[in-house]
Amino acid sequence: MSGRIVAEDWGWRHASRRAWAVRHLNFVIEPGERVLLLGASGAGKSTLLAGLAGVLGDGDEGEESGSLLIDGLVPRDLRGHAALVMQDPESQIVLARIGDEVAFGCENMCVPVEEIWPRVEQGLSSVGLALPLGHPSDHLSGGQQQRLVLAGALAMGADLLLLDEPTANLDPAGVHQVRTSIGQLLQERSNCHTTAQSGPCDYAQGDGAREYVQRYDPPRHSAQPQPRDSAQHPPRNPAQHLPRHSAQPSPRHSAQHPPRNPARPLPRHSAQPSPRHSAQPSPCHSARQSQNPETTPTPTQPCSSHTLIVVEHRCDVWADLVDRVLVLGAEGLIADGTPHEVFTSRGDELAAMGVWVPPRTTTVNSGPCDSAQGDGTGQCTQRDGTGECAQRDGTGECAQHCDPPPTHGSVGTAPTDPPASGLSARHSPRLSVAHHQSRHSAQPLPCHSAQPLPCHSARQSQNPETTPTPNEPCSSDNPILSTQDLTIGYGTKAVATNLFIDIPQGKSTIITGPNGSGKTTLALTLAGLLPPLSGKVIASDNLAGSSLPHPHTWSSKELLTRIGTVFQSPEHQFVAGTVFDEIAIGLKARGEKRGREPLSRRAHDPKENIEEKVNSLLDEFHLTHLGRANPFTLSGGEKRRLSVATVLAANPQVIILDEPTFGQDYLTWQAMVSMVESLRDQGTTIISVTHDQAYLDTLGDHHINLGER
Amino acid sequence: MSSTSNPRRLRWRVVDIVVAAVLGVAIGFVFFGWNFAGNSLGGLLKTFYPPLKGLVGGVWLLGGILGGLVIRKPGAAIFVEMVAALVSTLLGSQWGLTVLISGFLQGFGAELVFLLFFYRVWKLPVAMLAGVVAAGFEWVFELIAWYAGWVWPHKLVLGGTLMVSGAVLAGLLGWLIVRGLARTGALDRFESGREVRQLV
Ligand SMILES: Nc1ncnc2c1ncn2[C@@H]1O[C@H](COP(=O)(O)OP(=O)(O)OP(=O)(O)O)[C@@H](O)[C@H]1O
Ligand SMILES: [Mg+2]
Repeated sequence: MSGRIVAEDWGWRHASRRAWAVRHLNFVIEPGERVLLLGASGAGKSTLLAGLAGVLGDGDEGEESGSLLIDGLVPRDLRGHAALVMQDPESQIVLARIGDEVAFGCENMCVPVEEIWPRVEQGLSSVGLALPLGHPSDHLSGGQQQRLVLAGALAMGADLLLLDEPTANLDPAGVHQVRTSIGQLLQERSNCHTTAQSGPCDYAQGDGAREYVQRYDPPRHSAQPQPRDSAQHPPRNPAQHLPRHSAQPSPRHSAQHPPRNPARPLPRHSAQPSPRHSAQPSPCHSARQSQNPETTPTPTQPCSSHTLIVVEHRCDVWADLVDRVLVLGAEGLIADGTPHEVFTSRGDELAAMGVWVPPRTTTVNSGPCDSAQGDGTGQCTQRDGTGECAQRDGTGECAQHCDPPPTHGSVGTAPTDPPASGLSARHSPRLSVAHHQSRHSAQPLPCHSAQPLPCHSARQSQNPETTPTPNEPCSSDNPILSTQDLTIGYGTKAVATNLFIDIPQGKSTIITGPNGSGKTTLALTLAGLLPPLSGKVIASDNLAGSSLPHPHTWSSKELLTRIGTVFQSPEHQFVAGTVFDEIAIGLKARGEKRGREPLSRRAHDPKENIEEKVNSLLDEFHLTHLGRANPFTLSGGEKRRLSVATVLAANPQVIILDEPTFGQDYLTWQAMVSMVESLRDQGTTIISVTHDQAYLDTLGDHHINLGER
Repeated sequence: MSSTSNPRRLRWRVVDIVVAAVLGVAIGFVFFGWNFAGNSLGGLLKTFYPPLKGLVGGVWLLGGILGGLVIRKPGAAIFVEMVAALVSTLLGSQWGLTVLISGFLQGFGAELVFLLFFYRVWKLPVAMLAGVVAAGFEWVFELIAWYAGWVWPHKLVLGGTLMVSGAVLAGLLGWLIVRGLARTGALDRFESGREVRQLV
């Protein structure tokens, strides 16, 4: 069943919400289309994908309006048609070993037994997860989890591939690899031949393994069982273990294709053959065909059009793979068309709504999206590929390229980037001010990194009396945290060894490195949450106060005002029942501690009203409308912002952020970066783990690359 | 509310099964503790007037009430009470396997009341009534199993104390517990939780 997706005024309201997550959606997605789904954080992208995968639940979980049908059927009743990679990969991993995890999807798709393991291996290698099949699935880094889930989805060979920010936690090499694999997969699928169609799979066939050819055997054309109504034996959707619905209409609704949305241009599918209405290929079989591209006779027409719908805020990765862009707004689609159409004609409008619109100066070659162009920071207008200034003057500065911040409007982009100048004035002034401050307080710009700067200027201006001597040695000589021959890891297993790292005080340090290189482990060790396997983490006297200088020996109370950590997985730090309380907790705890820390700048805070403070943080982080919601029900990007906000609220001396910007749209990204900048300018030491190049460009005062060591 | 007209309203979801089981186990531990605390308290009351011991009985009915109020699906009351009874038996109880019979009857009593209201009304009076009826079933069982030799006035007073206890310690207490749980957001995936928290 290569499904034709038809949404007619579709909407969904989560049961605990008054507002609709998505509403008034009208579109048709033909089989084989490759769609990039964009929209601000919280626009309902994940909700739509869940709807398409049939895992939204029923009346208990929320209210539906209009209809969302795949080949005329409700997705819930169509098990096994879609492979969904959820935004939080951890929530999707069910089995203990990675091999089993990947095989699980295939098993539920009733892939013949002897074909499963080759598929598993191929899936794992196509996402670059080079670990033994028996590797425990709970010993994976965030990026590795994401790769594992992707491998499972690819191995399933479902017709509809739904990817929700599949590269958000991947290192750049991984992003490239995943993109390439998916491109290949789609390519193979659309080239395969029609004659080799089989009947739909059912469980009985899965056992009769002898019936099936080996992976590299030529496809068989005749000995397949007769097609049966596949809806009678839908394979289980591994994403959903609910009792199966029995009375289902037949999937063959050849005459029932609702009209396409007339508003939508037909960029490339005008010649698309209408979806097959006889002999739907089974999910099992179509995937098997793709395994034998070399033996397949000359393709005459697509045998199985595999549809891709991918959500990704940074669209550059997918730009040349997708042929259509849908943009979700509060009340339905706000744009629909080819990438080129959407980004050139609607760019300004979309950027104002928070869509991460790519710069549109480059055209054909690199596609409409080109990450090398805009850094989204409004700092240096031109960089070379390394993120450095293209030109420097004698002092190592690149003055002429670091334009002063505009007095209004565009924060965040190069002048070659029209959408940004269309940014609403609502958000810009504050951001401009933040940049202004940082400039005037002589904070290091990314392009200044070659030149040491006078230290502490920002801190002095904040609280002159608490800074002991104005001519303190430069902060890099005086690290707030440093490591000596540190070995990090869990239990007895070392992840990285011989680390000698200095974290300069009052600056922003960024840790990068490939997935699994130990960034998170290092962050947790620096944060005092994980004891070093050997070697030492040494905190400055300033930070340690009267305690031992080793963070992992501190109590959680002591840690609270010293080192705050935002975990990679936001849920891991939610403790309260509402978003509001979640932020208030940090403020309250900090209030209790106030005054006990002699050198703390907090002693000089005006007596603050917690409620006011929480509200202003909610506002900064675009969460005001969710103040009373349960943190666990937020969208991925909202959760991330909340977890960052909670730690910022507690205002410890050192803040450690693990992937702070994932899942953020353009506006929320800017808000977050400017918050972090202004904290740094007030003297807070920031340590971030990230794959986000724009973030690195903006806040990379000091850069540690674990991969290069 | 749209859910009242929804045909799937009464169907068990995965989350219902899981939460019901967890609830059952948790209450099983409460029963286990009450087997000692409640029973010695009952023993004390008994020295004044034997039928008074019924006053502590309500706690053992909590499973049915909580199960019904939280899950709101047919069978939830019986299921949770039975799981709780089973867990407390496995942990060890002075009454041995008869606890399972009690558990079934008590859950059944509560279930009957929820059924009577078509699994639509979950207000405090219904919860208390469920406690009373559950206590009624337990009373009948205890009359047969343990107190056949008592004089009728004692038997009747025992019924009264059991039912009062069922109304208060199971009905009222259970209702308060569910509200407390709902406030924390733990029940957001249930109608019972969302009702208390209101929409945001
Ligand atoms: N389980 C849930 N219960 C209640 N509300 C929810 C739930 N999941 C999402 N929402 C809300 O629905 C809206 C849309 O959420 P969704 O996850 O679809 O957004 P999104 O576009 O994927 O955002 P992001 O880019 O941040 O991931 C948000 O306001 C979110 O808070
Ligand atoms: Mg999402």
